[in-house]
Amino acid sequence: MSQEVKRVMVPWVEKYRPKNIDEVVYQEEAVNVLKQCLKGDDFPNLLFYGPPGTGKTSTILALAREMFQDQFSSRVLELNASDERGIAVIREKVKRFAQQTVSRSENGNKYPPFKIIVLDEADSMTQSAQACLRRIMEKETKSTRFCIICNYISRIIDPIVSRCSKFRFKPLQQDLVMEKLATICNSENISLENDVVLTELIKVSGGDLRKAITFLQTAYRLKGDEILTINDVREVTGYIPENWIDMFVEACQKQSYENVEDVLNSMVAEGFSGAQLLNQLHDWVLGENCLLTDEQISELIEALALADYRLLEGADEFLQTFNVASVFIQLLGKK
Amino acid sequence: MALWCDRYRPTSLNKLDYNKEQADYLKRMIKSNDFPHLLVYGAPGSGKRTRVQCILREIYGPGVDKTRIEHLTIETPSNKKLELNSIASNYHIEVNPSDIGIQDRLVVQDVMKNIAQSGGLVDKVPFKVIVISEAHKLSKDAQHSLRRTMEKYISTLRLIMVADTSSTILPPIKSRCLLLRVAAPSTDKISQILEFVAKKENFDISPSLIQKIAKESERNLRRALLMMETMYINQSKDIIKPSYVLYIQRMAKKMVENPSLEKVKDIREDFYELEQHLIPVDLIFKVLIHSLLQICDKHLRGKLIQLASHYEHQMRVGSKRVLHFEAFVAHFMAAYQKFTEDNMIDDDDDLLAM
Repeated sequence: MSQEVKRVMVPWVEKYRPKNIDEVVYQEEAVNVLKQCLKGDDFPNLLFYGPPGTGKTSTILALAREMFQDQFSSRVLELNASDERGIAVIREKVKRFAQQTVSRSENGNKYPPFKIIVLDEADSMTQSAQACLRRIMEKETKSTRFCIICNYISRIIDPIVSRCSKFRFKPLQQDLVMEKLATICNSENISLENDVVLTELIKVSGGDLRKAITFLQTAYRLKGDEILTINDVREVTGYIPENWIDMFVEACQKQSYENVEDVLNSMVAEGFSGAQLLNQLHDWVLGENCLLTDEQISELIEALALADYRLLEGADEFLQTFNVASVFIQLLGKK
Repeated sequence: MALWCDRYRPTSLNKLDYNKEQADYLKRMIKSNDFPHLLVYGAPGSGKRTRVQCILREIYGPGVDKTRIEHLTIETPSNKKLELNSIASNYHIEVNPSDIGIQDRLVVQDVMKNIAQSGGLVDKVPFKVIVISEAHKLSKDAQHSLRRTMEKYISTLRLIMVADTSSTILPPIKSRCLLLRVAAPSTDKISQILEFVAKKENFDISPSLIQKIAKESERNLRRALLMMETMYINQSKDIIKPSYVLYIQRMAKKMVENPSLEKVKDIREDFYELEQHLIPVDLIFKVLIHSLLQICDKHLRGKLIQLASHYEHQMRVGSKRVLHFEAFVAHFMAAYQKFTEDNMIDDDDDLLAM
C-alpha cells in the first residue's frame, strides 16, 4: 500500500486529535487538575462526563500518552462499547489486567507506577457489570487507575461515581470550534464561499467538534476542490431546506388535514428524516416568525418531544409527524 | 426471467436515471480514494439498493456481481448458536442483522471484526465493504457497538448502511458517516421510466394510463414497475389496485358504522387476515388512517391522529401487535360514538364549543 493512499484515508477526526494535553481546548478546569496529578503520584480514578465531541476520549488518550510515552500500549487497556463488556469480561479480562503489577522504571526510563483502564462509552455498560467493578477498583488501587467515560452521569451507578473524581466536560464555545475548523480548512486547503459556511456548520453540529469536523470532511469529499457553499454543508447534514418547513407550517395554518398529509407524504418520499423535521420545527417555534402565545408554544413543544421520543423507539415517521401537525392545527384553531 | 424492476436496474453510476448530480459527486469521491462510511437513506423504492450496487461496482469493478450465499454461525456468550444468511462477493458482504432480533449486536461485532482482520484483496482498494441492510431496525445496543469499531478499523473496512429512515439511527453513528439522502423519483420521472420499459418490452400502453400508474405508485419506482408488469401479465386495461387497500378501506367503514363490541371482533378477524398475507402493520395503520380521515368529521381528526400515533408507538415497543391494534380500534370507536351522541343533543353549540 503506498504512503499516498494511506495518508488520504485517515479521518480528520483522528488526524487532528490533540496529541498532548495542552492541545485540548476549552476544558481548562479538567486539564489543570489533571496536570497537577501528572506532577505528583496521587492520581485518582477518573470519571469524565459531558456531551459528545467535547474531548473526553482525546483528553485521556493524550494524558496517557504523556505519562507512558513508549509504554503506552502495555500500560493502557481501552474498552469501549464495541467490545464485549458483560460481567464475564469484567471478571476476567479487566481483573487480570488490573492485577498485573508494574514497575516504576523500565529500560532506564521512569514511569508512573500504575496502569490505566479506560472504559469508554460506559453508559452502555449493564448495571451488573458496573457493580462488578466496585471492589476491583478499590482492591487494585496500588497498580491500576480507572478512567470511566460517559455522556450521562446518571447512567453510572452511585458506588462507582463515589469512587472517582468527576470532571464535567463543557460544550465547546462557538469561537473555539470556529478557530479549530479554520485551522483545519487552512491545512487541508479548503476554499469556503464565506465565513457564514463555518457558522452554519457550527450551528448544525451544536457544539460537537467531532461532528463539525466530520461534516466538514464529508462536504469536502463530495465537492472535491470546488468552493464549499452553505447548501453543501446543509446537504451533508441532512438539513431540510427552509421552504419545506414553510410549506408544512402553511399547510397547518390552512387548517387542512389533506394538505398536511400531502406535504408529509412528499417529505417522506424526498427522504427527509422525521427527527430532522422535528428539530427544525423546534427552531421555528422558538424563532421570531412564530406568532403563537406562550401557552400554545409549550403545548406544541410537548408534542414535539413526544414525537421525538417515539421516533427514536422506532415508531412510524409519517404518523408521528402527522400527530405534531394535528396538535398544531388544533392549537391554531382554538385562537 | 427476471422481473422488470430487476432487469432494467441500472448497473453503473453513469446510467442512473435521477439524482445525477449526487452520482457525479459519488464518482469523484470514489476516484479520490477517500471513501468514508456511508449511510444511505430514503423511502422504499427510491433506489437505495441500486445505488449501493453501483457504488460497489465503481469501486471494485464487475467482480462484485458474482455473489454467493453464505451461512454465518454466530455463538452467543451463553453458547447458543445463531444462524444468519448473508450475500457475499470477494469484496463485500451483505448482512441483515435485524433478522436475528435482539441479538443483532453480536452479528455486528462478529462480522465486523472478522472482516476487519482480513482487509481488502485488491491493491488499489485496501478495504472491504460491509453492507448492512435495514439499518433502521438495528437495536440501540448494536448501534453503540458500532461506534468505536467504525473508527478503529477504518483502514480495512467500510460500512454502507441502508435504512428507510435516518430517525432511528443514533447521532454518534450519523456523525461518523456520510449521509446520503436518496430522494424518490418525481412522478414525471417515473412516467418516463415506465414509458422506456414499456417500449423495450413491446407493451402497448396509453400515456394516460402510464401517468395514472405513476401517480398511484406514490413515487415508489419499484411499485410502479410491478404494477405495470401485473397489468402486462393479466392483459388488463386498467390499474389493478392491491387488494389490501380495498380491504382496509372496508375495515375503516366498518369502524364508523354503528360501533359495537361485535364489530371489534369482526375487525380482529380482518386484522389477522391481513397479517397472514404479510402486510406490514405500519402500512395497515397508514392506509387505515388515510381512509378514516376521509370518512370522519373534521373535529374528530385530531383525536384520530393522536390515538393512531399513540398506539402505533405502543405496538412497536410491545410484543403482541393485535392487542394494540384492537385497543386503537376500540378507543377510536368509543370516541366516535361519543362524538356523534354529543352532537345529537346540542347540534348548535357544537360550532361554538370547538
